[in-house]
Amino acid sequence: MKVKAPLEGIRIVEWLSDECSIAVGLAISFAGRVAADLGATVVQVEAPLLRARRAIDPLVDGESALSRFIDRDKQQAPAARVMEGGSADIILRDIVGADAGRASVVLVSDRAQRPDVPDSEFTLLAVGGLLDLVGDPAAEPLRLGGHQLAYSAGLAVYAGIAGELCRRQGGGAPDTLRVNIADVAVWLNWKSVAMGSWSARVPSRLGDGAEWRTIRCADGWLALVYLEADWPKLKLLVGDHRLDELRYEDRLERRRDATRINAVVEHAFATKTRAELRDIALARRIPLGPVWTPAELEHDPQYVARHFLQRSADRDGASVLRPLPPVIWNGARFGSGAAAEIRA
Amino acid sequence: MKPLAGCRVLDLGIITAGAATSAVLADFGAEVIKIESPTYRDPFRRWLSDRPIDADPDLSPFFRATNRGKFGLSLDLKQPLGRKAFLKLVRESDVVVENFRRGVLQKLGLDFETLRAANPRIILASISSQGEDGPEAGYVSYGSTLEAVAGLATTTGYAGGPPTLSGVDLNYPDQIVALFASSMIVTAWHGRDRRDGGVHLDLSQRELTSYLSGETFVAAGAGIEEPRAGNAQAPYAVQECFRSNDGGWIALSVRDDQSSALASLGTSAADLSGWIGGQAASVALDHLHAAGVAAARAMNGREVMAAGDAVWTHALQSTPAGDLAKGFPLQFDGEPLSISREAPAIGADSDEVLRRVAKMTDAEIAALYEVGAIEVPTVRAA
Repeated sequence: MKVKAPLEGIRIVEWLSDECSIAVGLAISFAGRVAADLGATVVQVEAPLLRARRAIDPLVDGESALSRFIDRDKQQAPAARVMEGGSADIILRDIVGADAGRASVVLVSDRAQRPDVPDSEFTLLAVGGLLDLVGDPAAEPLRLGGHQLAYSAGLAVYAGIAGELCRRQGGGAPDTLRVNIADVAVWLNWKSVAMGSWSARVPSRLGDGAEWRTIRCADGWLALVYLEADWPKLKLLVGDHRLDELRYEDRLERRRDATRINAVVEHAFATKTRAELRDIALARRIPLGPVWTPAELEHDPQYVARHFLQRSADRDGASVLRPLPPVIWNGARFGSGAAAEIRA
Repeated sequence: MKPLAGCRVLDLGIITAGAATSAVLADFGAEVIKIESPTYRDPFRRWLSDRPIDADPDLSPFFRATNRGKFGLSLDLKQPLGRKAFLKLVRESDVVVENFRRGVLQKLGLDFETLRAANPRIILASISSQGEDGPEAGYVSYGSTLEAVAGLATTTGYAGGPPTLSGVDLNYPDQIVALFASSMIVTAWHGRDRRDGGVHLDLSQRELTSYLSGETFVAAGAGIEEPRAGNAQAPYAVQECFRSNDGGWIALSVRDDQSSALASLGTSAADLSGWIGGQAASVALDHLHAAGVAAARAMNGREVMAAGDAVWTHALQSTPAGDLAKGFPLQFDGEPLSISREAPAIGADSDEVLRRVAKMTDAEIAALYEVGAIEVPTVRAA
């Protein structure tokens, strides 16, 4: 049985100007990725940024892993041909452009108010307070791996696409929507930004002293993550009397002594493998996280059972591993813009 | 008109992942009814704040910031009368959002088939850490657990250092799921007239976290596993934070065609640390911006708040009563998103919702109070 992809028949255009920043380009194309995965026809106006993206390291069979992920299953054509006939439902742009006809427009920018300031995804992490939160206090602030902020902005763009399609379906006239990557950064980081108004504490990176951090185990690393309710279970699992001190029943005390607590737990887990720790975490319902690599996850039991990662041939014949969209829709997993088979 | 005008959402979501998903739906114009059991309220109601004004233990600022724009209904789904009232609400609603532990909805006798029997067009969004099925469906996780098991932590960290987490103050996977889950619900609502029957959306936060690192899976599939590289990132020739002489961290990204821009400032890629270290942050930033180099001060949350318009415009908002609340990740020009009401006190709208939506009589509602299936409303502290 097949399930029809929800965006079948919807046409979305990605149109990056010659001046478009790398971050804005990634946000727009990531939104296009989501839309294409849900069955939309996504057309990219040929642009220098898209050509440059194909050459960004690392390359897989001569084309960047980045392009193979976000630009797959999209058509490309010159602007005049893409806009011919005015059949686009939504146009994703970085600048206010020519008449969009019947299409709605999502305008994506680095930040709203300061077009004079040159930005990158990295500097937008900085102004959104996200860099300051990660890493070691004695060292430089640290970014999260990959393109988390640009892609999060892409999710916001996609939310706008879906919302605008609803508005249009309800009889609304085409609107213009705006996504500023800096706003998305602050939206993600709302707790830390707002906390200054509610608390004397200003969150910042704590390195080894963080309540949640990674610790070594026999064959790699483990994310030590727990909240109040998990503390008794963690103590029992570690079985070290040093954690039985009465003051550790108070979370603030544990926070103060996080470096010591983490060292005790690390010592206890030093002989256990990540797979063993995963089984323990699952059995005892403790939120410990073995640190898996993407290569290991291709064979991860959970991902295999849910058919989340797929190996298939790209248009040039290269065999490519990629994640499918992270939603199972009435039992079906979409991808490649086609109707999906309901899983056995 | 708002995108979700006419859409009614029953929100069983708690803390961030579920409750923030429904908050986006409220922003988009849906009527969102937050349902909490008298025996298990949203734990976010009692999150820490040390301001005296936030002393109301049932309406922490974190809860208020996330649950603005919603109605509040107290209902014990474990009790037969409560469950019956819930199914009456389902008949009159379009969406149910939940992020309980897997299996809880089934135990309550409220799985998707039961909801669909009550309302064939219902959209159920099940948000979980690992998905509805699979050997690890029962895995207990918080956001940063998922960074580890989804492959994000292994790509985050200083060169030669350990894998690194976003941590308890960001809990990154909990934030992004609200964007993705809400947009999938909106997508399902958009297609409601073009399909037969309802939709069950099975949303795994772990999978979403991996999806947002998609290119690392493409690379890994070809045998490429890049070591942790701190802040360096292709295609930039230099991307790093350097400390100015007044203690600020300057984050910058230098393209490989910008060596002449650096030369015009009397520096080079190799010398940036010393050049920035010799001046105040604001001076270095002025020079770098004038030369067209992307650069910014790495700010903490308090500084981001103070920067206001220079950085953000709608990410945080004021509620009608003037409370600081989570705002919007996007904005519409024609009919801008806005926050219509305060976060509800416990059970604030129980009677009104049961009367208006579930079409229950006063006697039926009284019976719910009598058996304790509804909590007596508390009033927000002045």
